[in-house]
Amino acid sequence: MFTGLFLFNVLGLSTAIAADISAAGSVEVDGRLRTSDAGAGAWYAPVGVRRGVERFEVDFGGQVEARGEAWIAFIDGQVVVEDTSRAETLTDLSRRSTVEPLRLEIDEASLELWDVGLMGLDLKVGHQVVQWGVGDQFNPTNTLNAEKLDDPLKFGEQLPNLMVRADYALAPMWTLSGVVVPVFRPSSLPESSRIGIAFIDRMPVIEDQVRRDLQAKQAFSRDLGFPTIVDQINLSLPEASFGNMAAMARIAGAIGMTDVALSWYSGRSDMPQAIRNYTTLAATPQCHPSRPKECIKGYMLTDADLAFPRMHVAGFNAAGEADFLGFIGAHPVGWRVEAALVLPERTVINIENEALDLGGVVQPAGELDYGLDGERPSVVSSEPFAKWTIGLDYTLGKAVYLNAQWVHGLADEFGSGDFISPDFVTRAGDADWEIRRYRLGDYLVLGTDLMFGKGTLRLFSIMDLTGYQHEQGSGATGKREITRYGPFSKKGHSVVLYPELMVGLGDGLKLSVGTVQLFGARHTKFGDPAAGGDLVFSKVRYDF
Amino acid sequence: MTYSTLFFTLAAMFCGTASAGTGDEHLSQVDARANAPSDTWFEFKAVTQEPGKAAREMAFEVQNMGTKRLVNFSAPSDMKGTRVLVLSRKQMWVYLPAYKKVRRVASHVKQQGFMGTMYSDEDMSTSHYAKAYEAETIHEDSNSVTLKLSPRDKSGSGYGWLEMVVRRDIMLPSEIRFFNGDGRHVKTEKRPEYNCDGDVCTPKTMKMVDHTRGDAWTSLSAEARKVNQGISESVFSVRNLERGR
Repeated sequence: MFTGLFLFNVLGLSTAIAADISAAGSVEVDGRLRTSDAGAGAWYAPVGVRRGVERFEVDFGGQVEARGEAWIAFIDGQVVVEDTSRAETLTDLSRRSTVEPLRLEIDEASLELWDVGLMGLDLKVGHQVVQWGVGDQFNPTNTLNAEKLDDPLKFGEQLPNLMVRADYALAPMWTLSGVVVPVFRPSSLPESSRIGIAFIDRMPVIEDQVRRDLQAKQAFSRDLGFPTIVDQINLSLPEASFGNMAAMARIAGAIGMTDVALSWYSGRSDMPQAIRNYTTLAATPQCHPSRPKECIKGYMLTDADLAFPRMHVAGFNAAGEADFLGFIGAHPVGWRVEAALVLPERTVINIENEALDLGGVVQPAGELDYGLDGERPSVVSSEPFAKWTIGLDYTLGKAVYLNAQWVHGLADEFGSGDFISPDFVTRAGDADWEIRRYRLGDYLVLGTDLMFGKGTLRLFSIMDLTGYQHEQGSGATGKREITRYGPFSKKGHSVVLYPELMVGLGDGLKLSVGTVQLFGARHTKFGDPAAGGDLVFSKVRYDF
Repeated sequence: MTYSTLFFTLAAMFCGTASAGTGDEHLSQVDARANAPSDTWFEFKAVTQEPGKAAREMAFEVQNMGTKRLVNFSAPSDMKGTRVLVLSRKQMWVYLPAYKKVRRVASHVKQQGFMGTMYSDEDMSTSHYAKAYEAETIHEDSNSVTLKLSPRDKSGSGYGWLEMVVRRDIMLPSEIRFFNGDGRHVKTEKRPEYNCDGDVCTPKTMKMVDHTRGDAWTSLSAEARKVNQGISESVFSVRNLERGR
């Protein structure tokens, strides 16, 4: 027994010695201020985030890598000291974990095995991010991991998930890869996204007549003293079954001086879509606290169920350089194209209510009669759609880097509807009017890094080029009068400006300060209060 | 042929291979000597010093085989895990661990400092000079040959020309001077000492001075080396760049 234990220990020790273990760490202090309130909703159901401290967190990060002859184990994560106490009761004040909460985030915990049964065949299992796609931060073909949108300063990052990944090196530049994701993980969303529930006029229904009828019904009940508010939102996550596993195959390599990749994904969108609305009545009269004549008789409370539609995605990536400035003696310009053809599953919505008595106007219990010959209305059509990122970059001398991208469809945009196959999403509306835009927007993303001394000034911007349109209903003719708002107009512009100054202070110490400024009307992509409002931030980071 | 020409021709012949030939032949000899081992492995310590700033240190391993090169950074900690694959002067990829992505290095960035050093990506990706440059001899003496190297593909190089001082005893460069398209002397690399083992000589230290940046410099010291280990060609693959083996 003791001999066996001794041998076990020796073997264990020798295994540990055989592995080459290395570690690294970091400390980051992340302070952000919100410089303007961002809110929405009427006085009886306000929702928003206030100006002030957006976050002030300390992040202690660490990586440990153990490397053997034919394997590597890797752990990467951080402990975050949160700024806000979670104490809600007197008892909570006796617990340090609630007074001073910590959050553990694991970015990767994986084991990778090399040359598994076949030279060049690698297997990687565990909690990991597979980061594919040649676009800069906007990667429509990178659908394996969910979007990590909870931190708006880190957009483009992905949430890790438990996966099994296999890669086979076909040739020095060609790799065949396959990934299976056994359990679905949804995107994380920013804190400010909850403001979106105040916009009950942003009806997701595609069928015009049904959507306009719903807008009219909401306006009618509001005029009767029963406005609609969203009460609860329930997520319907796919169960962990074989049928709900996601998978992706990809072949990537180079043809001449051009990197290319083709991929196929089968799984689900990580962005939720409404599949059921259930409305109840709460007859709780109340008046505005400072305007006593402004009263309501109660609420129409809507519970919404959200689900994640199935989809298949065919992906194409290519990157290279083009010598179209050679005639002026310039180096070739870098280019990249990342395109996804998405084949979505049609998703419908079920709209029901309990028996509603709005002061004598009665709506019987049951499902709404949509007038669609027994069909339910769609929130996602089955029509295929394309998303893409086309980018150029160039370096001027040693100090200036330029990057420009045309992004067609951001991560949160899903479904057919663009300048190729027009269909629209409602951004605001009422009984007889709506402001709408293409479901998939077009964005010009410009970035530059200006390097000087110890610092880099990064100027980054996103401009929504989609444009918006105001549709006014005419009761007499039933026609819609359309007024278009161009991307440079007062009601159609929508822009993000994100300058950041980063300074390397030496020995792994870095400082950065910057701001995110959002411009546009409330119905636009970035002027939307749910986008979170303007921020200023500073970060200090030390790597060791 | 005059007598004096004949004299110098014969003299050159009897001075051995290193003394004879055109600039291109000299350069081919340099390439042959520099790439004599079938493969090499180095552990380098790099120090970069810019005027008015603290010195920065880096550590990395380099594996070479012909035109192929795989560089793996181990320090400083914010660069740990960064890897660079060079398959030729025009084919270079970088793996950035923070983004978990492999990116092709475009030629427009090749004049930028390689990972913040005074070496450019172009400098780091050049292993066979004769493939990239035409050479002419501009000076010879008993100890050295100085070659002027002009890019074969002018649009593919960030330099107007190079001057390479080649030691006759080992036919390897002791100094390379870099000139831009306007003829300005922009950088100088010195390789004062070689570590020789039989026919295989590798630089012990190298120092690149950038005259356009107040003579900022980067020195590379080979802390360890191995030659002819029989490294598999499969090491130099994009897949291997990603896994960092």
